[in-house]
Amino acid sequence: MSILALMIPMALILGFGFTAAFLWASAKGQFDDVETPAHRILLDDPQERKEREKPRTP
Amino acid sequence: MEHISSSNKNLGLKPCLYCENLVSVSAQFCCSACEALYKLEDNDNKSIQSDRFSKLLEKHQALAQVPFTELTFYAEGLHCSSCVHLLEKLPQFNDEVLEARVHFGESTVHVILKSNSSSAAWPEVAAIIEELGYQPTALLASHDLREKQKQENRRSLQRLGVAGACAGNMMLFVVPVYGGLEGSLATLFNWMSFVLFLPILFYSAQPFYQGAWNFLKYRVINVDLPIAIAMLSGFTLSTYNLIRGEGAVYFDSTASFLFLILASRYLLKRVQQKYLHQDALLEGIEGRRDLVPGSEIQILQGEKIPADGVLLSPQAEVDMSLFNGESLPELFREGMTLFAGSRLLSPSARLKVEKTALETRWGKILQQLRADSVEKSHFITLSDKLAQGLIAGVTLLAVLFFIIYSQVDFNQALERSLALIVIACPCALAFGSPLAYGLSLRKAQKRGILVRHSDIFEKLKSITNVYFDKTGTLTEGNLKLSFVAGELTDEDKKKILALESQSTHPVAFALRKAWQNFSDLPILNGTQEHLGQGVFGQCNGRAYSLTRSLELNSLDHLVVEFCVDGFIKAHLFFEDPLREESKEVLEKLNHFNLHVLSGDKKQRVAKVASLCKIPEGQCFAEMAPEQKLNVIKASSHSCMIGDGANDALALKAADIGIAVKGSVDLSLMSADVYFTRGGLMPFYELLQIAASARKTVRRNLTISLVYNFIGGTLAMSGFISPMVAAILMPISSVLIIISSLRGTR
Repeated sequence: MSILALMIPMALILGFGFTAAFLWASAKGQFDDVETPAHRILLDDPQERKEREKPRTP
Repeated sequence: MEHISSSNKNLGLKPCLYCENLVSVSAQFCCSACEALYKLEDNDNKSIQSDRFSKLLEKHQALAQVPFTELTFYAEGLHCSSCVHLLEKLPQFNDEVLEARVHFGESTVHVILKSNSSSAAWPEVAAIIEELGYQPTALLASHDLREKQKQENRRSLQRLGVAGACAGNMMLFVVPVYGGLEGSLATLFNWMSFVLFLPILFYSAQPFYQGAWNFLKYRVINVDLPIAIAMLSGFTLSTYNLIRGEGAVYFDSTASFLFLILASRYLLKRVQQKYLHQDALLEGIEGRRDLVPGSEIQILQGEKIPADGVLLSPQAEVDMSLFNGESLPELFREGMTLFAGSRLLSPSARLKVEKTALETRWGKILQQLRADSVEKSHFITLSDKLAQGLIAGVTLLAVLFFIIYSQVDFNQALERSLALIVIACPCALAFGSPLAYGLSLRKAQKRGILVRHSDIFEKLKSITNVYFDKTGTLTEGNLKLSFVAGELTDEDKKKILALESQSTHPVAFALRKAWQNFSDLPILNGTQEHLGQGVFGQCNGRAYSLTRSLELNSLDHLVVEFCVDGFIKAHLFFEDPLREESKEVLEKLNHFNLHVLSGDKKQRVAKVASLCKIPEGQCFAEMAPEQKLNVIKASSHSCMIGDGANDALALKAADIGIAVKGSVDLSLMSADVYFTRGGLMPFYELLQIAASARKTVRRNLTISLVYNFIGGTLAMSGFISPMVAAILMPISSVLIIISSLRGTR
């Protein structure tokens, strides 16, 4: 059972680390707007669009 | 995008050239944003130049005094992914702009200027946004408010995150104890739970303390008090037992219960916040403050009149729909007073300013709107009422039980009565209702129904009198070419379109809409628009005119005659038709007392009412905004459905105000509900959504009351162990989540 002495602190450190990361991210405003990024990603950059469309244009 | 399938190709649809959403074959792009983006790609010159631009610059000149380098604009008309892209390209259009970020849910774009640039760039930024096809309104007054709201949202999310992390880790330590672990290791694990509970107690649960305090201080009914009591007694009891070394420990179930409540509240809040705060846009609507009474100003075509004033030009045609909701413009002559907020349709007009800002007729309406919002009574929801009863009942029961049972066994009495409070905490009240309402709000939103507050769902049940505005609500709100008397060749139609090509009169719009697929219009010489009469022009030596017919004009039609060389060739009949679905929806609504409340002429209102089978005694015609207000005030349990602008006062006064058109910003200031789609179908859908929301909430309450009853009985008879609590708690929660999801599908 002595392995618990290692595992419990590790589990706590892991949990604490992720909570801290979450707090930091939300303080930075990462979760302020969860809708717009979904729209932002939908369209390609103009450069990529041009390259993709090149073969099509006669 | 979801519509794309190969079969659609046969339906006369083809992909938009830019975003590849399907559009009808006659159009190349699905919206103006796509068109602008497509043209930008071909064109390396990113500057925007148009004849309008200098006028727009002038219009937004007041922004040059803004002392910030960051500003948020409300961009009316933002609606798709391409819009997001286009607006975020602002830095390419203006070198002063460092970054532009769109918030899709709020329809806002946050613009940051480069650090070395002055605020003189703001008018240009606003002009560019308008040139791109959006109505920009700078959100000045609300700057602090928005910031505060954002901070608050982040804090609630952080509280939620901490509660979730602690509750989750706690489970890890509790499982072996439930599994039968005993001895020093079990005590250690229970102490770990205790430590993990502390962040919840001191950090995550803060809003509940605040709410409980408000309850005690202001006697405002809420469910925060029972939640706080349950949590604190759960903590006290568990800690007491932990120190004693015997008895039950409830840390884990109390923690997960709190996490669920925080989560459902956060969901409800985020859904409700999707619209801007009502005060946010006032600044933009009130008109210019820099005008001084007595000064003369020049107003251009299409511009909003910024102040009440006397007309100095011989005559002017003005769109008064803000006040009377009518689609037909009114003709003003020299010396008459024009009202701020109306829109000029003539090419230009001079005005002598008399009243500005809040002194104007429109300003007074706005002021009244704001004053009324304070008066609106607080609505007590079902869950509030139940919470009140439950708090009293459970507390009384616990105290009684403690007094009686402490004669037998003091320790047992304390433990059981505290367990009773913990178990019988109105779990569904705390998170069942917000969850069901939050999901219903989202469902409504997806169908274009913006509901400001979830109270509306319960309020809708008490409604008996429903008032409809006519123009734009029951009818389309735009003139439409209904029929042509006489023969018109395609050449004639082209001539007519050419005559009207410069006009902003509703007739011109109706014609352009009716005859869409004509191109290369002939060029007419000496086209002239005579206000209140018609348009005249010449082509190949022949005189053409389109004038208001004097003999044939009736009350339900506007008749225009087309003359060639003075001879009448055809009569064109225009009307504002009843919406297709109006009749059908009104039939479904006949369990309400239906009324028509309109600013239009008596005969026209009577005609629409008879078509909709609304009794004549329940029609009010020729009503000014102020009169509509009085009608609504005299009525009880009223619901007003009307135009967001000219019905604003009535919408506000009604128990439930629903705006069907008009700009979103103004409507949401006065109305509780806003339909982004026209017509009455959304109203019917709203009633259905509200009914299913109420049903779901009731079911959730029943589940939780049954659970409370069973749990409470077990607790008092001493059968509740932490394990039973830990099993019962999630079962009831899961039941409520399933019930909510099913009910709002």
